[in-house]
Amino acid sequence: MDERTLIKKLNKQSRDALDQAVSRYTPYVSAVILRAMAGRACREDVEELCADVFVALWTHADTLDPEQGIRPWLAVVAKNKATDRLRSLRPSGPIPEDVPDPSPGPEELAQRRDQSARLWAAVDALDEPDRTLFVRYYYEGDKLRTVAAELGLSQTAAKQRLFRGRKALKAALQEGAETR
Amino acid sequence: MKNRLQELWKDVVPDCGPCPQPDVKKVQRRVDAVLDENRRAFHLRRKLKLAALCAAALVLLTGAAAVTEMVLAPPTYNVLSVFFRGDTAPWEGLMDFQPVSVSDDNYTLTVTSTVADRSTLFYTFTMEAHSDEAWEALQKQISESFYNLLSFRSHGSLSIGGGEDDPEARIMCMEVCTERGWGSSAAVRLNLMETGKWLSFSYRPVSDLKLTIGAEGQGTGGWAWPDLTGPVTLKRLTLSPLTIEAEYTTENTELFPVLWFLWEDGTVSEMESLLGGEGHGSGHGTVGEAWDYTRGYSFDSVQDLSTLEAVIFGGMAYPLDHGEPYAVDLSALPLRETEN
Repeated sequence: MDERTLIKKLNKQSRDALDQAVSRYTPYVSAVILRAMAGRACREDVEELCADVFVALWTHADTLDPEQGIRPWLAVVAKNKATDRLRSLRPSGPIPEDVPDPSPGPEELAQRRDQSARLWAAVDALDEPDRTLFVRYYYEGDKLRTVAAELGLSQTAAKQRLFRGRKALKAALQEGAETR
Repeated sequence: MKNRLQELWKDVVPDCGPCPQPDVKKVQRRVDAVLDENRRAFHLRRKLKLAALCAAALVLLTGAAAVTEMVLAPPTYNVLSVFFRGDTAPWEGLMDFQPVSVSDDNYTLTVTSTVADRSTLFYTFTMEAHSDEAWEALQKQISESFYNLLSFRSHGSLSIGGGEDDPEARIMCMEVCTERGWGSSAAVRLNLMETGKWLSFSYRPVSDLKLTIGAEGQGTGGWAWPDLTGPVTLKRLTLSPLTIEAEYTTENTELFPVLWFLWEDGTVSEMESLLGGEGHGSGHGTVGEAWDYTRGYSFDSVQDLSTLEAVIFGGMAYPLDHGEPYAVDLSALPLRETEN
């Protein structure tokens, strides 16, 4: 189903279309959220905010314009929600210990946010076109072929940049960890 | 799609903990939970009767012999009357109406009735707060997210409704419809309660019957896409008094096989007219090719399969006694009048 058809179906309040939107655009929405929060979000934050964005998508489904595409709308809402979250970010309350999928405690959540923020900062510090390449390939889930073409790179060159970039990121993060 | 951020995370983050990349299924569950919560008003019509259940639960839960006396609660206030329309009294035998409770200083959690088939488990439960503070905490949590409030040991997707609650009695009623997993027991936990306070309960799945079809016919987009049609290959149907599940192949995710029920009296019902709540299901395949789907729906009212002669698909009737399929002319068969 192409994006235009998806929006038309969302206009008609199709839950299947919403499910497809969640499946297809969660990587993109999460990338926008991570970027807006400068990486200061752990998985639980991102999942919650992504869900908020898709609930908003459902609420406003009848106003979506098939000609405008869905990504710009998702990006604006995701950024707004991430900004709101940043303003209100505070440690979570105590979590019971025996739940089957135990939620992390406040310290663990803080540590995860810290790790995520450090990775994001390292990616954000990459020179172009590597930064865009990393964001779109790893965070937004775009195809390497597409990203490479839009950046004027061959796929081989893009792969080499990813390889070298990963080494640079690893080194930067290890250095950061040792000096902490 | 491979989780690329997960790969990057593992590769470059020292002492790597969980990657911040969200789990799409968890996002989906959160979305479903919120939207299902929003549907509470829609479902309220069916659930008004639960107010009386709460009142009965209050009387019984506050007594020392709460659990043993709960069976005296009026039989009309049960999981069948919550999820299915019409007179459910003839079907009480399908249901477990044996309340089970767990308590701590602040709350009592009680599963009040259950009914299940091969694919789906339905149950109702109540949450009673023992103090104003506990009641406030309960209301605060439920206003934020069901998943902050409850943990489930069950499989598949959850559709959680809300019955009537009684502020004076500090009791909240809930109902859950979930895909069943293996086994015949489930558990629910109120996260506000002490650790280890799981409420485990067993249930008896009602029997179902399977019909092998193996034929191509028409699919439809149903009420959401009434103009959408296309071919589907229906492999098998599983029917119970509560749900119908179809295994089929199609190129369009919105399509569901067009099915008709042929009753013993010679009348027919379009299956879609018999369906109630949201469906469940999954599909797998390759983009650009036909996908295999298993999709099920609960009926709007409990169906008496003993009066069902056959299921019609693609112009052929498939008898429930597994006799030879035979051709039927739908236009020559009278429609069954609906009761609701």
